[in-house]
Amino acid sequence: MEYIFTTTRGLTSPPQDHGLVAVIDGQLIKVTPFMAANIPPPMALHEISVPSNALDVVFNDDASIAVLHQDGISVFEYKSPSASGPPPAPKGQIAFEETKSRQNFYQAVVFAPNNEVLVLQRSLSGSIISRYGLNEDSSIIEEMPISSDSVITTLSSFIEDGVAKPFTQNVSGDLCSLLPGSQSVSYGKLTSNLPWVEIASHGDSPIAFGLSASGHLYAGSRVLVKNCTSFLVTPAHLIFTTTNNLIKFVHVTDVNSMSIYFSLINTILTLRRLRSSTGRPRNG
Amino acid sequence: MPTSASLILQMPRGNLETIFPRAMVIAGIRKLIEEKNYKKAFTNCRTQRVDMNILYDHAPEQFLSNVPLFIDQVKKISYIDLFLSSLRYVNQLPMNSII
Repeated sequence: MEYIFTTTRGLTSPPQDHGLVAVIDGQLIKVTPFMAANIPPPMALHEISVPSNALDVVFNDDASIAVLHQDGISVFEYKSPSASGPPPAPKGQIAFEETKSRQNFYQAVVFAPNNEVLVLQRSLSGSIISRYGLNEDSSIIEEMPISSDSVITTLSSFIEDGVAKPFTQNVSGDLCSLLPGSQSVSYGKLTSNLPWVEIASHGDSPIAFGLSASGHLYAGSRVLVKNCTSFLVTPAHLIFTTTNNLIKFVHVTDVNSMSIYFSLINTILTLRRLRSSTGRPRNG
Repeated sequence: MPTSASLILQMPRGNLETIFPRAMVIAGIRKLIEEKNYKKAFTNCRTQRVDMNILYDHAPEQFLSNVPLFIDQVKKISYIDLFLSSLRYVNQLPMNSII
């Protein structure tokens, strides 16, 4: 089993781009909306606590937070993140049954449409995805065991047209939708299993971006660069950092015609401001 | 964060740096022009030192048919003067910059 550093972020698309970041610290989740308050680690604007050690935390498009911990799932709502506004408020709890085998371990949680959350679990026989409802009784709706020959490594989601679309990645790099009724919908296949994956909705078909542990950044099965250290996707760009401290911006077009433009900023020494570049179109 | 055209980076030591990359700034200004929010587009041009010709160049016909709107939004005479004095005629664009 491999461990990676990952960042739990809120949406990067306006108007919900509050710059939300959540950090796990044992039974505390540290939440900061960077648009409103630039608070450096290890501090945070708000700290919310959960009953046991947290395993995963995610944001929904309305800034609500789901925390997966050893004993269950805690959900918080966070209305209008601001510097002086109220902290995230507890909205519901789901407690895992005591009878669950201790050999199963929980890995990830995501928000799903219709007020539900999905949880990824690893058991001896493979991966299990469970659906939980966030209404009054907060009980398990359905447990969907996935066939054991495709162990799931990633459970995540992206927003398309305002709807949360959960998906999974298995050991071979296949990306599958988890919406009810569309389990066979594929979001493509990455060349191999990639630890960091993000799907961006673009036009007709969503594009999957992934980063390997060796620094290869993929769009679908196409390698974009080989020295990438991190990346994120906004509505206009794919932004990534490289091993020689450059930040690069790529216009998100369809996979086959993405071109790369440079923005040379040395991130360690000084920030040089580019004075004269503009976006003037050609005349005629 | 596209709304503020800012990008937050974490350095190896753990400290955070916020930058305003040209690519995001120009993309933000273009979007504001398309939404006819000339006031905000103009303000961003000023604070980010972006050539104000973009206010016209990005959507020339839209600008020409919305000059009253532009003046209403920008309001301050000194700002309008600033915009007018920065207007330049260039026969051909020196660089192709879709950022």
